[in-house]
Amino acid sequence: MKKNAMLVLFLLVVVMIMPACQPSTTEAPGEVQEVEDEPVVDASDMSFAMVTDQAGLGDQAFNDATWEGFTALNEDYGVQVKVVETNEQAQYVPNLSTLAEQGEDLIVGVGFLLKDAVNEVAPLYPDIHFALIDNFVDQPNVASIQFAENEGAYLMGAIAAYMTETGKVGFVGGMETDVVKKFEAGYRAGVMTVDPDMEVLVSYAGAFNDPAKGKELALAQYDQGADVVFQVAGFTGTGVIDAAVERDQMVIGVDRDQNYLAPDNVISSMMKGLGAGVYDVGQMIINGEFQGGSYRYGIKEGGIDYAPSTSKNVPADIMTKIDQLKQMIVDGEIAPPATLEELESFTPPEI
Amino acid sequence: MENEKNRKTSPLLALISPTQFILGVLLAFIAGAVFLWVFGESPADAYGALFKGAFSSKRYFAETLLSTTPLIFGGLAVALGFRCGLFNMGVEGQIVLGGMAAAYVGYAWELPLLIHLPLALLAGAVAGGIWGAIPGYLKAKHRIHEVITTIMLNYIVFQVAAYMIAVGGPMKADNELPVSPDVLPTAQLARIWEGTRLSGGIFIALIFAVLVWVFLFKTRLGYKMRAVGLNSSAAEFAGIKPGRMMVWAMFLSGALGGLAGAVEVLGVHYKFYSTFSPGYGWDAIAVALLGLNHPVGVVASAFLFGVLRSGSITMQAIAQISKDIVLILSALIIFFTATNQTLRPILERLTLRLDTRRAK
Repeated sequence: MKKNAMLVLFLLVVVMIMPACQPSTTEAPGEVQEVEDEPVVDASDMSFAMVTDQAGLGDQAFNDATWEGFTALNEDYGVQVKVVETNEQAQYVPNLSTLAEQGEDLIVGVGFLLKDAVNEVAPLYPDIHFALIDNFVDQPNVASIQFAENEGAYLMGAIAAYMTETGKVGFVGGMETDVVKKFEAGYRAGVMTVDPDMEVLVSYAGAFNDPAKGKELALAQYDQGADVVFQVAGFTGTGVIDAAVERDQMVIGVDRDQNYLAPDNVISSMMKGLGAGVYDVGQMIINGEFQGGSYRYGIKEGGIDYAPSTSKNVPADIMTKIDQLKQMIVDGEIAPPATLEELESFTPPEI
Repeated sequence: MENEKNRKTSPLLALISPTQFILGVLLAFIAGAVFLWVFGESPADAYGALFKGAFSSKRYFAETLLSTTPLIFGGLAVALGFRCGLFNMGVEGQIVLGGMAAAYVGYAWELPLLIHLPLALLAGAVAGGIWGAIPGYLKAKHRIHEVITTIMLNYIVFQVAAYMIAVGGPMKADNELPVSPDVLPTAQLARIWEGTRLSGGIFIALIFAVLVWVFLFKTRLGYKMRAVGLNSSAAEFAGIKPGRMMVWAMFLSGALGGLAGAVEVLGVHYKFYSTFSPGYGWDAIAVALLGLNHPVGVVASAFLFGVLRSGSITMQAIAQISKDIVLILSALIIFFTATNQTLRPILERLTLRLDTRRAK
């Protein structure tokens, strides 16, 4: 009896639900056209959205930096902007397709981890523009925004090596992936340029959203004698900065000028023009001239730089040397390694 | 067991469980509405977005069923354990391990479809089953509490999973992402609804719900397990070996968890990555509780949780409610639905009163 009643009830629920989803099924989703093909585009009608990685907004780094591009587009063109934050890797695809189903004009996947998801969703919605940050997807409606992080990390390595008093510097990475390894390779090369024998301590937290782990790893590095640590760890990196404050040591930030987080300890930050990259793609869409493909930003293109606040904590004579190195990268005299294999064959320039 | 006889006296009593289920859900949504209102969000907008995101288009509805699938398996896993008096908190780990094993068989072995797919599913089930049987054995032999051991074993799996696909890990694909290679087509569960990600996994889950029902209520082994769950000393006195039943129950429970992971990997992602389960194993505990540890109830509550999962994305995307509020709301609803046992005494008293009135 009891079981039968449960079954009847469940069927009842199903029957109640079925009609609710019937009419919209006939809408044939996926054919969300009507947006494009207008020569004059009123941007306040447009809606741009971003899907964060697991660290989400408030990470003071990667996601926040990208979001700055959205807020700028909103201020300059009146574009509506929205964000969907991801808790788990398994949600990338549903998050992207939910937004696509809404008929957004641009959907930005923030981070290389979204590569597969963008690759899966973009072909299903050929009329919607996508952008992917830090990775490349070969689809006509996807703009891939990539950065030469190795160039910036190289400058950070040089700053760290010039500034250290103990002769030992550290590096705390988020997940052990190719993008973060690219930072590591550039950083090591920068250190090597100043002092080929200097020791670099390297640890990885295994996550971009674990500040406690970041702090623990940084404390360990400071306790082993490092006095400058470069963090490339997203939200995890806020823990690294915490550790620097606690030990009163130097730390280098990432993605944005993170000096405001600890004005006396954050001696520099590697600026990554995430917002600018998104802004460029957004502008293309507003002007109706979107093109898929790869967009690469390095020091030369103004997408990578050291933070303006660097001169506050780094003495002028070191700044001059850093600017020299920067110029040499722009001129192509130095090619900072992008992988640890390339690092092995890297010969530091004479300075 | 004597209760069964009393129950027959009134048809109203049969309605207690379904009523408890529905009231629990209603109360949960009311509590959620109060919470949203207190935090300055509009409950109508939020719930509107929730249901829109769960039902309003083919793809949304497919995503709802997609989240329902592993929750059915997970809920069955927890329910089966409960029926034998065991609390399997290790479903999340069993899901990850099952997914890992299925992915390995799926990409590393080359076999024809008819063998490959079942074998990959079996690998997931066996891996999860063994991982579940360990706490079962420790409980049966050494009286070590299964709640502790299952949780501890979870962490081992999580770390192993992260290592497997980290740079230099043994299952890492030859690209820049922390994932395994793609599962070969012969081991993939086919997509059954064009333009969506829905695979045949949902049917496998429903078949297993029926199988678990048959097993629990129509087989001798299932009867013995339930006897141990109701009173293990009495069961022992009746000639049942409680220890053996516990190991079996935990093996089967773990196998269901492993299958959840296998179906997820072979039917949704087609590759393994360490965090492919967004906490299905934890939700599964609430699914089983809300479903009153009955397969039919599990299917119904898994569906409700599927709605919550897929709708929570649109709450962010349409209603622009922040992720944290959405997470708190889901947690609140889960808490309220899972504690619907509090309603039972009230409902029973009510039925009794109605019954006596009718008798007069």
